[in-house]
Amino acid sequence: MSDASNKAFQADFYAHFQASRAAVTTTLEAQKTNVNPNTIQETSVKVAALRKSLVDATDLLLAYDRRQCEEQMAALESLLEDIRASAAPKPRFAFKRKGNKPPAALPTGPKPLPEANASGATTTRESDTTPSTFHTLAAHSHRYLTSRSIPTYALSSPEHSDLTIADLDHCIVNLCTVSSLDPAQESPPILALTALHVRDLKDTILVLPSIKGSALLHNLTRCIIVVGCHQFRMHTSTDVRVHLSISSNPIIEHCSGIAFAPYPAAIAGLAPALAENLAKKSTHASVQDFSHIRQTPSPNWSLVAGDAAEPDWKAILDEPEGGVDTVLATYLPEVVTPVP
Amino acid sequence: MGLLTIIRKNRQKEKEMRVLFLGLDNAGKTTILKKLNDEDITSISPTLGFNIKTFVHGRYTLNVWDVGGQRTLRPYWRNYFEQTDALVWVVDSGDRMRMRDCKEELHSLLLEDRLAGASLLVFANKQDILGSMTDSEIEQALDLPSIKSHEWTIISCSAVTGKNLIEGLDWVVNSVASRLYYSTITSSVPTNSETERGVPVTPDHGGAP
Ligand SMILES: Nc1nc2c(ncn2[C@@H]2O[C@H](COP(=O)(O)OP(=O)(O)O)[C@@H](O)[C@H]2O)c(=O)[nH]1
Ligand SMILES: [Mg+2]
Repeated sequence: MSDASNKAFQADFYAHFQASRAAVTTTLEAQKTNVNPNTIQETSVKVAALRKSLVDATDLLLAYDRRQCEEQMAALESLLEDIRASAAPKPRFAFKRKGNKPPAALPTGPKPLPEANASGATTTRESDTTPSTFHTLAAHSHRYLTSRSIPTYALSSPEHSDLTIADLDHCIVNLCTVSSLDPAQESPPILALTALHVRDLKDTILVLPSIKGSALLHNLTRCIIVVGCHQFRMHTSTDVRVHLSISSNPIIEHCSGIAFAPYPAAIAGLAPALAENLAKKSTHASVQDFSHIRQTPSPNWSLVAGDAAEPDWKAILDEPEGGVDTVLATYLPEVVTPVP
Repeated sequence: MGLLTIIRKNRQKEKEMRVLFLGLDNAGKTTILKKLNDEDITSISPTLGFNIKTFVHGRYTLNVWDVGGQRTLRPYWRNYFEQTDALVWVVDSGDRMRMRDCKEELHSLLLEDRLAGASLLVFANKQDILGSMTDSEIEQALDLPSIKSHEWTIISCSAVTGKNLIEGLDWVVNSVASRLYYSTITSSVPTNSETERGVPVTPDHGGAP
């Protein structure tokens, strides 16, 4: 392409891209108050088309335009994701098993157990309607949650299972110990997991054992995560402190304000099963930021200083008598970038 | 160079296939390739950029490109489309929350002119994990039956146990061979492989090595 026609293309493309983006954004914003699944479907086709046009034009755009368009595109896609998620939380979990192929020795469709919880709160939304053989802990707020809060917990063999944690607001999730307030006779075995999927957590502390597989996390805001795993990938999250034991390079993408620290010795010391699976030599400091593929250090993450004060893990792990909010208020502010 | 060598060279070249491994991040693309190659699969880091592996499979040489699937890397997939004989789309069968994303990425790839004619194998990976979606559930979730533009199949597999990995490659090779070479081949274990690595060609990086 000649220089002149290239310039003309760049100008045209930019104008077209901005116009389409503005139109789609307006439609999406309107969906926040007045949801219409058809509109969302149509709009997502438009978003995909816009993404494709951007990808196709990538080579021809000026670096500055390209970066701007990329950022705007990512913002648009995450807006769409948000709206979809709030419009239709159920279908995301609603895949049912069909009978035409034997599901390889899986216990199909267990009935969710009523949740044995001091507060007598109801079970989670998804589990009421979806027979599932994977563990899901979802849709809670202001709650202290343990493995007993997972409706399918008692039903499945503990080996090779998948845990999904989604849609929590102001919660403490403790999958490492049994609460001292819980009158339950015996400690349940620590969940042996091979995969972890986490999505949409706000102001939440997650304390998990080591997973013999990967952890994939999306959309976390103001959280503390304790976990061990083979791989760690975190997307679109802000202000999260991660206490991690890992044997590969952790990666982040579209994230900011992320701090990494080692898996707390105080938690690993609670049970042999917790210490056993930790990485011999954790590489939690070798973070790669896929949104910052450059020689310069990424501004999106840091390491917690070695001499920084550890939170009082016992206070976090024990079921708080006065509810979780006080504990959260004590520990979460450490990771919050101060709000004016 | 003797005549025989030239002929052999040409024949070798003619039996090469270019296979592109794509899919969302965390699907298990790199693990599958390492497992096929008998390498250690416990300390794989997420792929920043791409890996190339060469397998001798039966009478064919497969040049396999494994490209990172993170959202920021997906725009660069297009740099790898040229002359692709087969696309292997790897799915994390337990990742219910991203099936829609997975479906959309796949269908938008299939619109790509440079992938027209490529055979499509969908690997429903991680079947060893309790609670994974079955291949027929994934077939529905990804709306595979609507694909008319490509010869496709779905095979459930596990990169950890190795189940069905060779069978998947067999399908790829047979499908491509019947299109390009009009000959059939039989199954065999891959041998003789090498790996290269690279980083994506990004404007910020100033070009790949
Ligand atoms: N249980 C199980 N885990 C798998 C399987 N395949 C891959 N994984 C895990 O999934 C994570 C992502 O794998 P990787 O190959 O890096 O995915 P990629 O991003 O598609 O290249 C790793 O932690 C792997 O150990 C499988 O078949 N079964
Ligand atoms: Mg990879």
